Amino acid sequence: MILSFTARAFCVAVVVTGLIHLLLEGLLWLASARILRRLETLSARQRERVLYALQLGPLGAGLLLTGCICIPRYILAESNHEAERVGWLCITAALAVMGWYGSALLRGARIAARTLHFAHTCRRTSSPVPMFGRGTPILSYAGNAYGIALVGFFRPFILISESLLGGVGLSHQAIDIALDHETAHAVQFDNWKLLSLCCLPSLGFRLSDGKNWAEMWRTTAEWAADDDAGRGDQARLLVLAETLVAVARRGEQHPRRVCMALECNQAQLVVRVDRLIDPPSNLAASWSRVCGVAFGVAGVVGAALAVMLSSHELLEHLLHLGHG
Amino acid sequence: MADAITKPGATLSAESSGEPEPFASNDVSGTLARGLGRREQEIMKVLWARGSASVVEVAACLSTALAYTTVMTTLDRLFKKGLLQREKRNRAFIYSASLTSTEVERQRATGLVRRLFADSRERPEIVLSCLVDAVDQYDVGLLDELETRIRLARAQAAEGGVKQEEPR
Repeated sequence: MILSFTARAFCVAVVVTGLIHLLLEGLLWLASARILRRLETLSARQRERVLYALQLGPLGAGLLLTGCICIPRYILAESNHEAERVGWLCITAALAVMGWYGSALLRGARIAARTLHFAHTCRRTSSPVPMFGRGTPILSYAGNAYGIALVGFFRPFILISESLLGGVGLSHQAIDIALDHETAHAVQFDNWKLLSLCCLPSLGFRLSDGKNWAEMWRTTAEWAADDDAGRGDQARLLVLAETLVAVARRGEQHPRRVCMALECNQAQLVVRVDRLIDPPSNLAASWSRVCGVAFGVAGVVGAALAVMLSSHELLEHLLHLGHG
Repeated sequence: MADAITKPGATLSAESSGEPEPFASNDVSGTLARGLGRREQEIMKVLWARGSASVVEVAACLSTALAYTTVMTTLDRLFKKGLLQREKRNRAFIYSASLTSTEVERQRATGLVRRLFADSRERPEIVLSCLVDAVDQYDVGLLDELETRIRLARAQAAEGGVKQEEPR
């Protein structure tokens, strides 16, 4: 296929971005065991931030290196600004990368739309709960459900079942701590982070414990919110642990169907409660060093890739892949 | 003589007190949360407009010609879902809506929130930060064990506090 200079530059940009993205994701997966061991020395909140950054890293590095190094060098080095034949393999690779990124964006857009619709529906069917001193609005839901959740992106609110607020519901202290947990999610923009991860194209490699990076981030974000709500006070942490079990038990009293994911969720509940009963201590505040090393390594690898891929001969070779 | 107006669950018999069994509003909202079919929606609109109608009258008001049995089956289905009530007049059922369109919309929204809020698996495509993942059933023994662990930890914490306060 014959493409104009602009189209060729776009084609090579897409392919190079995809290649860097794939390579860095692969490297991250290969180094995952070592990374996770290092992360254990960090607090939950630090770990959550590193895990989030690690997921954005491969695509971010691909876009940055392509946009700042590869393409400018290609444009400067390319002497032929006329239309030129491009190999079918290169075009196929570019279409595959665009399809991969496009489907991730579409999935994210669909999730965002459904979430906004759900948030709008919640606002229509729920009643505000005046709780002074709380920045995040609270709505109570009068249905047959037992839960507390942070809903929405732009104007997030906390949705809580009326049954948990009433006379036979949770204690004042339990409600207060549970709301602090959800407020921590709001303050950290966790719903926005979750949405961004939904939009992120990823190979979804499974780590040593069977989870992928996104699932690991989600679990860690919950732990971090637990720690924020507990504020280092053992009594508060125990009340939160009791609240988690109480909410899980209330849901259990109204069973619907058996879930194949039951074991995973039960295991997560056990780990959360154990963390609250016996909080990890003496975590070294060395996260800046860990991050520095991690990002330094990633930066060196990424820059090396970019320099290699910005070789004009290599880019020309990429463009003519599949060209007889 | 018109027979009693019935709702789903009530039995038509001479011994019946005539009091219909109340259907669970959660069932209706759950049904509405999953949405009504196009035909069901059209029939509901006809009944909201007319107030009450027989099978023949409903069939005559539909935009597409449907067989009598098809309309009858759909009306029966809506009755069993709790959206319609019916009374027998001269060997024919006269149907009317048991909820206004506003109430249907409100119940639909309520059912949607309940379904998506209460069950994590129902909402794979909703971004939500829940305090506890709502699965259908946690193991009761496990929850008891967790509560026991928490009680022990609380007792140990209290003991530790008492020991610190003991005079030397």
